[in-house]
Amino acid sequence: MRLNRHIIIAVAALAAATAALPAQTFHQGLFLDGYRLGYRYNPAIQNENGVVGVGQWGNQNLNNVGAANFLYPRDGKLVTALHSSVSAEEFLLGLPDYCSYTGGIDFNLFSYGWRKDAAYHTVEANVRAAYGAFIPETIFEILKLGTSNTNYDMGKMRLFGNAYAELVYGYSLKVSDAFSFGARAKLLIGVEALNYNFSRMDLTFSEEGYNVDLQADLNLTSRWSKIMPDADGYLNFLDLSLKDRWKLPSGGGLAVDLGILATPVEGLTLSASLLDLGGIVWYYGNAGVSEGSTSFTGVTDLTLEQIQKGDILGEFNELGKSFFESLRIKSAKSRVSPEMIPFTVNTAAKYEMPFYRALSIGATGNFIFRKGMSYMEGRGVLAWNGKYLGICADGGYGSFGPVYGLGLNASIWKFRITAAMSNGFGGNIPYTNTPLKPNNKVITLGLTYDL
Amino acid sequence: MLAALLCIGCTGNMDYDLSKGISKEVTLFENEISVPVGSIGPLTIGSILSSLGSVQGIGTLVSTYIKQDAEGSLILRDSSDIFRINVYELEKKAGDVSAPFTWNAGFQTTSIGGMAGALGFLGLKTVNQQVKITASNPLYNDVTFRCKPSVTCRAADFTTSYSGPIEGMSERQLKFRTYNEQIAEIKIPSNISDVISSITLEDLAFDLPANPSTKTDPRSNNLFFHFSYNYTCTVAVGETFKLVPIDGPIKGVNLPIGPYKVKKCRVNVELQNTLPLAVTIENLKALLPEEIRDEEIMVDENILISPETISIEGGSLENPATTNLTLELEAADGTLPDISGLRAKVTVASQPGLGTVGLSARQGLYVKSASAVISGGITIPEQQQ
Repeated sequence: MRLNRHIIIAVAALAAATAALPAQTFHQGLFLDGYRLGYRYNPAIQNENGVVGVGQWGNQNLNNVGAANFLYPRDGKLVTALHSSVSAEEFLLGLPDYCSYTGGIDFNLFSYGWRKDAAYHTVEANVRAAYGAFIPETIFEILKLGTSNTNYDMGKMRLFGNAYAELVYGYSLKVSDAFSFGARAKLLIGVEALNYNFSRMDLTFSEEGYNVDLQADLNLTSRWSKIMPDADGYLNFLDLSLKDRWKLPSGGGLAVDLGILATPVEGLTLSASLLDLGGIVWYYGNAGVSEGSTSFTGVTDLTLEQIQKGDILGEFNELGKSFFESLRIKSAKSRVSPEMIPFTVNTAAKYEMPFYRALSIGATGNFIFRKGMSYMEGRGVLAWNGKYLGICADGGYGSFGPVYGLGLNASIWKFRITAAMSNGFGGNIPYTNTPLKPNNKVITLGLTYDL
Repeated sequence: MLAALLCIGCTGNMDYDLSKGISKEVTLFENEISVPVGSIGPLTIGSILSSLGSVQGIGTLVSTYIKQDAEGSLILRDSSDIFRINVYELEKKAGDVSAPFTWNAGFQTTSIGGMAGALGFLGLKTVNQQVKITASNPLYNDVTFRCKPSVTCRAADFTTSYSGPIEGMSERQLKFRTYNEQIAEIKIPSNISDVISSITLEDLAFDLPANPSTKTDPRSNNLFFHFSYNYTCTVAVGETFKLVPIDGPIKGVNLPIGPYKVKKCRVNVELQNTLPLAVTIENLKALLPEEIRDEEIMVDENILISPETISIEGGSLENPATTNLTLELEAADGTLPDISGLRAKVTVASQPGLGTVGLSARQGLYVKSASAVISGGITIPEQQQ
């Protein structure tokens, strides 16, 4: 029993605290007694008793650049990276090939778990949202250095955002004292999504002219409204029709979580899980495409009269407008697009000190696969659990550098309150939540009640 | 517990305190950026003449006399009287007019208007000269005229003859008070570029009815026998054409590039010239701002322009001359200041080897392509954003 309880708590881990965080989440929860939502991290985890949770919240930001990549302190002031006092090496060498900023929010509407013999069942309803941008470093290279090369490839630039609901059923079975397995099936219901993806963007610069060869697709769900095309067939974002909007869910899909839990020797717990393996088929009622080649070769046959009137800049302005108009988005047929959701692989090991069970050490490993930017990290953990309070601290190394985390769990009667934070080093812009360095920042808050 | 936890890791690095403000000054393209400027023009003689039309004085004079023919060639037109006599005056000179008679006007001459001659002072030549001589008859009856029209150039005389009737006014509708009938047309060979000095009617004689004054057409109210000329020529430049060199400031050049802290700029131009004139620009320099400029020190030594001498070849409509120019502006120290003016010595002369070439309104200078390469970055100051 105690072993089961420890198993439950042990792997409570990660997903823990965070009712609805994507995978990587609450790794500290592995080492906090009293955490009840461990099945979110590893479906094989079982609680001793039933549990209910409402309104839990989690937030994650994953970015491979920070504010310190773009702002620099100089003589008591801040300057941008394009200031002359910031060298090109200092700015550009610190940027990855694609600067990315992604975020995710999980909100748990309702959680309920119950035991029946050797099995543990759970049901949940959640809302999840994700957003992000991938900007090629090439853009900054051109702005900073100019056109030192003649050809630039800026494909794979992307903006995205989506929100969907989850209805989840989980099942875990304890096969023996040393082994459990579990799975969670998720019905995904798409709410809204946006995807603006540049599959090709080739820039060519020469003294004779600039040329842009572009292929970009805009996919936007239309539950909120339908964007009407103008007379030329381009999407007019100011002409919205509520009558023509899509009134059903914008997408549907399935995903599964799988997990196994092993206790080969007393006090040692090993965990492995695969989360969010699946996807959603989105219906994009607002679809558009920007494609083709366009060139800028300067003015054509500027006349004496225009020069005398000082119209040169006006001519260039008009040319600039027509150049950018060629990048406008043309209306396309609605699209149906199957898309994977980011999946996560978690591994963990925890060992309770035989001489003092309240003290435990361990290690966690985590890998998130997300299109355009994957992330991995490993941490070492130290934890202490008392009767009413549990604390753990961890440190390690991730794709963006050193990481650390803290977690707290408090038990008040049958209520279990959990809070955790995980971050990289480097600090924030003062009085804001904006990180200065690339990092993976996770904040989790959770409340459950034992039945 | 929660607040404390959330506050951990939210520590701020005071070096990045936003309350200090963020400087918005940016320097773009620190290595270099090439900017395609495009094509400019063509700047043709025709467009210059059109703009001169609004310029009082010489501009109005030039645009009044110098026109274009159907092919666009620049032509000079002039017309005036050679000889005119009132029918009553003719009767008085003839004496007895009670019967049909012949009256000899003798030798009548005039010279071409001053504008054609003025072309010579400008160093221009006239080619394809042509004179049409017309006559008008104020009587109701046909009148027979005889004469030998001729034109005189410095090199030669050109003579023709005419004998025949000029129809009376009764034979046509009177849209105008007079009707001029062409009696002669003389074309000067194209190899002669001397301006026609005089137009003459020799041995001019009239065969008139009796009492011609009683036979004037009351509808026209015209009482004159009238001989006039219409002169046209094509304006041309000869081998020896050369304008007086212009040596001094070039007006209208003002480039406020100082705030952008540009270090170096290279301008590449492909110039096409269909004028038969070669242009040489020498000693090209940038000027100091007017407020600190004086007669002794005018040139801004901080702005280095190279090359100092630019030569543009002359060509023709059939064979345009292409000149590739590269002009570099560089700051001797720091960045380029505002360019408040340019000075140069500009010489315009005939392109050797082309001979005498007629001018056309379609000839001119055409910047076929131009581009600029800016090195060292462009700084956009904070206050200009």
